[in-house]
Amino acid sequence: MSFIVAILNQKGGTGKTTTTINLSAALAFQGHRTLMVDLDPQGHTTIGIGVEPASFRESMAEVFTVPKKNLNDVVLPTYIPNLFVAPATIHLAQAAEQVYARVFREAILAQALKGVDFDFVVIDCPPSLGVLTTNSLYACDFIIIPCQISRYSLDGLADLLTTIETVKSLGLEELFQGDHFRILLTMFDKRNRVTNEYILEQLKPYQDKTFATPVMKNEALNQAQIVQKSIFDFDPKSSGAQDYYQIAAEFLEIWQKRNNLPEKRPNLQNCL
Amino acid sequence: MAKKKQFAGKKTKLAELPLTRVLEQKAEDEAAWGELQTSGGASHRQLFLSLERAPEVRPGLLTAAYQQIIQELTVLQADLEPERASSSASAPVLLPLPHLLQTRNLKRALLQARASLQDLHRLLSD
Repeated sequence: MSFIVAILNQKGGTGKTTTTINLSAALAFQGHRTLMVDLDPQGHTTIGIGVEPASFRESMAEVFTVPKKNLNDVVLPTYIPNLFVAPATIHLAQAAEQVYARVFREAILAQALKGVDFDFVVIDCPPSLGVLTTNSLYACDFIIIPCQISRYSLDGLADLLTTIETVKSLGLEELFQGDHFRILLTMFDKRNRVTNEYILEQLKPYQDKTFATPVMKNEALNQAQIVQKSIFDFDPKSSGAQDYYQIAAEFLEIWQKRNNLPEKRPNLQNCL
Repeated sequence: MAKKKQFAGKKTKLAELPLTRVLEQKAEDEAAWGELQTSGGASHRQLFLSLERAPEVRPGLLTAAYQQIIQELTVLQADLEPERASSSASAPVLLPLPHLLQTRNLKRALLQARASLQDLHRLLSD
């Protein structure tokens, strides 16, 4: 059975797509069959991994429309072995509009994912708390929340945690006692000392729910988007590659614990 | 004014989230438990709380609840043993660590405890 991870934050520009691509690439390099589900109508995960919109006809929009397409039929290989993508185009926005009239509309993705066979499914969510995001929340086993060091990000995080609690039908105790989510600090800039201090103080209660490795601000991560490659292929020596390497290792440790697998530090050297 | 000073008292929505408060309380409980362990005051997963010590362990809903129970016990003790009431107003009472109790069950547990104490009081008074 696949372990389904939603990369989620209703705020835009927090690093969801960058995290989806680079975490998925790291997992694939480790030998895990990994599927990225692009649930953002902007289709940036699709483009970011080198799949051009002109190269396919069916996408996640067809999985959400009636008659629905089998998710397996829209999956495409990427240039990285073991890494696949269920692509998105702007048509997904229209499909999501139509979904509002359907019963069990929040379970469409969960149903579609029952038919796929991958080690990991990583969902790149749109920057909203709409029906596509609730579908991801409903389907996923684990949530990663990329969060910038900013006041507005923290306010957004509060709304998001409330939504997670509601959609996953979790009580407060279950939400913090169970291993349901991790916050991932992104675009971290050590020079912004005063802001960092304030935000980290606010996040202190969530220390155990935050990845130990923040993603430092790194130009190579932006440049990798331009060349449509993972950071491990574009610039394996960059701080962005090192950070995502560590984050993938932390994530695999969480996954091992969740599945009662023997704990071992994953060897991700083949990413670098 | 220095930029940092202007941050004082500025709270985010996150700080007011019930989950944040639960996590803060959990951290405080663990710190209090750690203190007790290092001071050798407890040999098992229980915490000595008395009416006097409760506020210093942690303010908030759970402590208020414990205070309420301890008050009820103290009143009961004073009624049963008036001669001891003046000398030992609040002997330490063994109570479970606060975070082991689930908040949603707290009110029900308190009401049950209070009813039991009242029943006991009534029985002993007869």
